[in-house]
Amino acid sequence: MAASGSPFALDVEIDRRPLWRLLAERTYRPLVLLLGFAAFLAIRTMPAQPGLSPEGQKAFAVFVLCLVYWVTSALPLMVTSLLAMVLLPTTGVLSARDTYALFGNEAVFFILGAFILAAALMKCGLSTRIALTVLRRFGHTPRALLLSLFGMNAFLSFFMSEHAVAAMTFPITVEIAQVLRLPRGRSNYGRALFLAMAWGTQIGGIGTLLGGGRAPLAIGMLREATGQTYSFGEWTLAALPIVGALLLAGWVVILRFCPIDVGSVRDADAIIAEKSLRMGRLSYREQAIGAIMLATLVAWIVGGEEVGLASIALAGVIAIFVFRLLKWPDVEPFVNWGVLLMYGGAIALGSALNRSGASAWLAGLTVSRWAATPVQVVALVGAIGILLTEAMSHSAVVALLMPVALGIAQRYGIDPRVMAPVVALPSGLAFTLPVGTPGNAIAYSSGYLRLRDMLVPGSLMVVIAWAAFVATALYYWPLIGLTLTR
Amino acid sequence: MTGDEHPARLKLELVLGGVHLEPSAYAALGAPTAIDLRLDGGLCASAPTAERGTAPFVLEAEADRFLLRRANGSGGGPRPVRALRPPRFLARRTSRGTPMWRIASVRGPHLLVHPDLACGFSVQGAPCPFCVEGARGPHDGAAVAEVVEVVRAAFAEGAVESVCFNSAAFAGDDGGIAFLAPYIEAVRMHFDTLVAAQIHPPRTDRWIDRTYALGVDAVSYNLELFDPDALTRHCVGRARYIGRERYLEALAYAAAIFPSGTVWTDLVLGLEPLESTLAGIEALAATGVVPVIATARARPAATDAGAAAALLAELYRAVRRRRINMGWVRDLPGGFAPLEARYFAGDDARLAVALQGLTRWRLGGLAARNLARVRRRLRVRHAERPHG
Repeated sequence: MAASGSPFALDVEIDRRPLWRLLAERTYRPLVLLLGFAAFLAIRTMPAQPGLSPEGQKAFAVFVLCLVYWVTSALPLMVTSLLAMVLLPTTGVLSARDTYALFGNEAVFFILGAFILAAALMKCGLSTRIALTVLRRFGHTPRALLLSLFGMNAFLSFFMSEHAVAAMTFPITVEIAQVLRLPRGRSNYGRALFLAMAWGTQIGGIGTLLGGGRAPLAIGMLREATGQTYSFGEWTLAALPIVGALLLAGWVVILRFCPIDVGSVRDADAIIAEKSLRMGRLSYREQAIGAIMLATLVAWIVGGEEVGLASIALAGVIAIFVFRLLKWPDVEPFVNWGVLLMYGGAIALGSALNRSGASAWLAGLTVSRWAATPVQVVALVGAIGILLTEAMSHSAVVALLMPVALGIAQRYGIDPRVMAPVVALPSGLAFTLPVGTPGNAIAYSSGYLRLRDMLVPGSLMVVIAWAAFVATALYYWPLIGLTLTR
Repeated sequence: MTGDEHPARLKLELVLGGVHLEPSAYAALGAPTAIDLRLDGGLCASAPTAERGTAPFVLEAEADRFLLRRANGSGGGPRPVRALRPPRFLARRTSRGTPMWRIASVRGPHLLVHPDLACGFSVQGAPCPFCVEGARGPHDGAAVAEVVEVVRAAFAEGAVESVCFNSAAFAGDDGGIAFLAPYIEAVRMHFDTLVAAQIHPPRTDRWIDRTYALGVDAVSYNLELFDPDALTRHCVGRARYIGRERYLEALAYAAAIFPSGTVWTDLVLGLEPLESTLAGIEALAATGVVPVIATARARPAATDAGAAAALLAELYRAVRRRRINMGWVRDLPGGFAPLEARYFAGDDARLAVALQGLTRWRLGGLAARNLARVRRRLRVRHAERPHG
């Protein structure tokens, strides 16, 4: 035979939907790209606005361009951030030196450290061991197993990125569902398990600075704008009541919407026991990484303010490599460099909006029209954050809202320090849609959850979360020194 | 020959009855077994040459033109036609020494490329006795570079407008498309042309998806006969190794994947009862497939031209009723595409004819090829791995 090899793409699918729909899908992105650019040009060339400096107008144009691309995901989030980094010096809002200096913000290095510490926990198997221990110790009845899974996901998300926790506990949850022979899409207990997994990670994820990048990003932007910051303990203290309230509410909602329909989880016990057995004794590496993690946590709480959170995180990372507990190639798959790029760009853009006065002007144009008092402002910003995050990346919501929130604080005489949790905490709570967060998407991909199973109870959780947030902000935060007014 | 005699009627009589070549025509054309004639309205007819007295038509050459008249002297005077001489490139050899006619032949404006060995059914001792392709002698198979060379030569001579690949391999799951894939890929890489493939139905529909994704613009799984008994009798290989049902299934699936009017099958006239052919036309059109009424040149059947005309009228009506695009399958010298059959239904089909006419222009052809490409880019997706 003269011809050899095959030019076939074997894994092809033919999309048989109407052509106009396919065309609309494909033209959406270039249209959005054009729209963003047109908005940028229009704002740049519009007549000077009262209260907005020429630099502010340029910064606002860059912000709107990034807003369009972040909200629509026309470009990857991190590429949009890079675009901001390019536009800020080229349009003359900031000098190139200032722009790239902002990229070296402490928050970016804190996140880098957190990624590497989480990688160490996962790579050595300590996180899996903790998960299995919790399930083995407490999960002997259907209710106890569900509660253990829910609580364990939340607990682990205090120390690791919530997405990493979801990815780690997903296979365990799937295995439990399979050994219990829960039918996909029809089993209440199956739904409950995956809702517990998704919601547990999210609720836990807002508890500390380690659950995700939102809080460090908000703090980084706050620090750039005002020089103020939060210690690890302060942030945790501010967030814990919301976490407690949501864990309780989430548990009740899960049981209410997915009444337990299995009598025994003995088969799941067996599989968990078998997995634990396979892990063997606590290894030297696990012990050492556990000790370093613990020391890092203590240092964050005790000396975070003086030494800086990023310095402590990186010290923990260095200790891991000094004791040869991890190799660099082991770390690389766990470090999301794209997220780091995104944060750097977002912090630079936020800072540019603040320095130029555009954020205050923007606040006057938007939230100020619907809110008259600081309390109303907090409630409104919280509601916007919690709604936006249902369809947008958590970090993108923070990147969008934080500059405006800082402007509002200035306008209303609100302590700008309060605005970091006001923006970051609600922005981490996406309960209704699979697209809201990777944790939701992972749970949804199990096949045990239908969209309705997330949408209906999730909507109730959104309302509860907002109410818990507002109540905490108004009645609890003043007790720990976080007052709305200066 | 009367002026009101429509060209499709003339084509029908020519392909069924053949033509006798006068010495003047012999001198100009040589001694072919069949001659392709271009008739009014752009119709192309492949008429078998026959002895004087057996053919209803006579072709003579006068200066540099050809005249066609009825052998019995009826129908008025001679009518000027264009006799299509075999393109010169077919007489050449590839750089590896293979005669180009072994690799390809010309059917109207289509270059029929057959790079493989002899028909698989023939090798198995189950050929379709009426089939010209099946009677092709074995050769060693062409290299991809040779096929590209032949296609380049055909386009350089202006002899063809599109390329149709033919493979008679049926043994694998793919129906022959995997064998043709490197050739098709190469032709698509080197030439801006529409590509068709005449192959056998693959065992699974996934291969049909892949065929479309590969860049094939039109596809044919030739069933030949709709009547199950006739198929078993005349097309032993098709019935035995593939089965009538699989042909019908694959055609229907392909019609849902490929653009409207680009999936076709021949139904051979006269080897099965006309009612069966009629039922085949209806059944195929109902699934979006374009039936093409073909004549069996290797074993011509005695077919009543009047009955055939009624059948062809129904061919046009059935395809139009199902709103299948009639512009793609066209210019088949040995068969009737639905749009050609409009003459028998007494319909001008002005819009369809105008649209088809547009694609014959350079710019129209370019637009058609690019639209086909855009459609493929929209439809074809590379499967993603499941999440989690």
